[in-house]
Amino acid sequence: MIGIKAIASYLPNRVIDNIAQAKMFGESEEFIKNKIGAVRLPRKDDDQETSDIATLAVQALFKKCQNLKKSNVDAIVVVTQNPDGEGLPHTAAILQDKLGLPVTVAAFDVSLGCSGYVYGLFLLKGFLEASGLENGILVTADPYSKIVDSNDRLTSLLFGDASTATWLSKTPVWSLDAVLYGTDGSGSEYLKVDEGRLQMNGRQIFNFAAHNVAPHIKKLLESESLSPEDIDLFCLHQGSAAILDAISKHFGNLTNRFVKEMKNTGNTVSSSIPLILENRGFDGKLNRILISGFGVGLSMASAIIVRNIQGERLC
Amino acid sequence: MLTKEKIVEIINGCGLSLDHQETSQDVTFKSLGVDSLDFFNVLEEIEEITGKKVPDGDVAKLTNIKELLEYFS
Repeated sequence: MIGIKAIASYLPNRVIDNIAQAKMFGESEEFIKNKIGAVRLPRKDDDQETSDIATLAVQALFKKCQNLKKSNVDAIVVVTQNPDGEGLPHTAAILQDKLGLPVTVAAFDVSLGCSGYVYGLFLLKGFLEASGLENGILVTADPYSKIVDSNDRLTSLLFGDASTATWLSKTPVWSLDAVLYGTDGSGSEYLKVDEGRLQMNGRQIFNFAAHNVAPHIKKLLESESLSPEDIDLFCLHQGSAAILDAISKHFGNLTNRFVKEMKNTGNTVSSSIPLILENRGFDGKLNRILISGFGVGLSMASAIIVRNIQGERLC
Repeated sequence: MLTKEKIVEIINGCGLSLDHQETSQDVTFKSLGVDSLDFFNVLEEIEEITGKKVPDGDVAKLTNIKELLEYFS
């Protein structure tokens, strides 16, 4: 049974002071803290490529997990919509070389944004199981600083750069349980790149999340005969503090189980969920977590992951 | 039917503490302390209640409670 064994990450040291940036746009410190949720936004160096920040996350994973050897990696998948160069060749191939992984490794990119981590987990699990393979690394590396226009108030206050690496193996700490997907391409225009510049219809993106994510999560729970109270932690994509508030208010007195952890990262696209899981998912305190990613596409994916105590002993 | 009281109640759901009797219909949302994200929230909730969608092009026209009431009347 393939699942999540370990997670590591990379956050660039260079950061943007988001409160100072907000003042340039005429926004208040209170707005940044309460609505955006990020007071610092990590930024990769200008000469760092997507594969460079991906490499640093995977190297952190190797350092954390001494029992994960390069020679044992069967597959590596990169979730990104901001790949190296112009996307050809795929970043995963470049990453294979930079990491010195065996040439026998399967490597491919997945073009998804904020829902990409949830999709990627199940995609890689299915790929490994269907291929009779054992160890895969799911990388998220989607540096929006490549496409954000620093003069655009809507997007430059939101996004931070980060990368993560998740080891999927047969002895997981977290088993992948039920999953639910969703796509509404009629909203694809609301978040897109045009002439190299990110363009966002903030209201429509907000509405999509505020209107659809809570019912999506509840539908998943109902399909598993679970109630929200059965979930120890709701680990949602950290779009903005306001979006998380708009979703969590549909869960009554359980709002304190919704993670809001973007103060020093901002919206890191597909990296936001694994960043939280890395920090909160491996101290043995939680048994069932709901993860949910939503955004560009418009796309949604929600899943339940369940703690596997046996896997912890083997880590 | 959408009322001033209901709009104030929805705004207060965003974390503000407006008194519906003291709040003027003509004062801009910005002056009331309703920021852009609060306003997305307010509109989303009103759309849900009324079943009427507000096209993006109309949003800039809705700057105070009075204009909201007229729009949804």
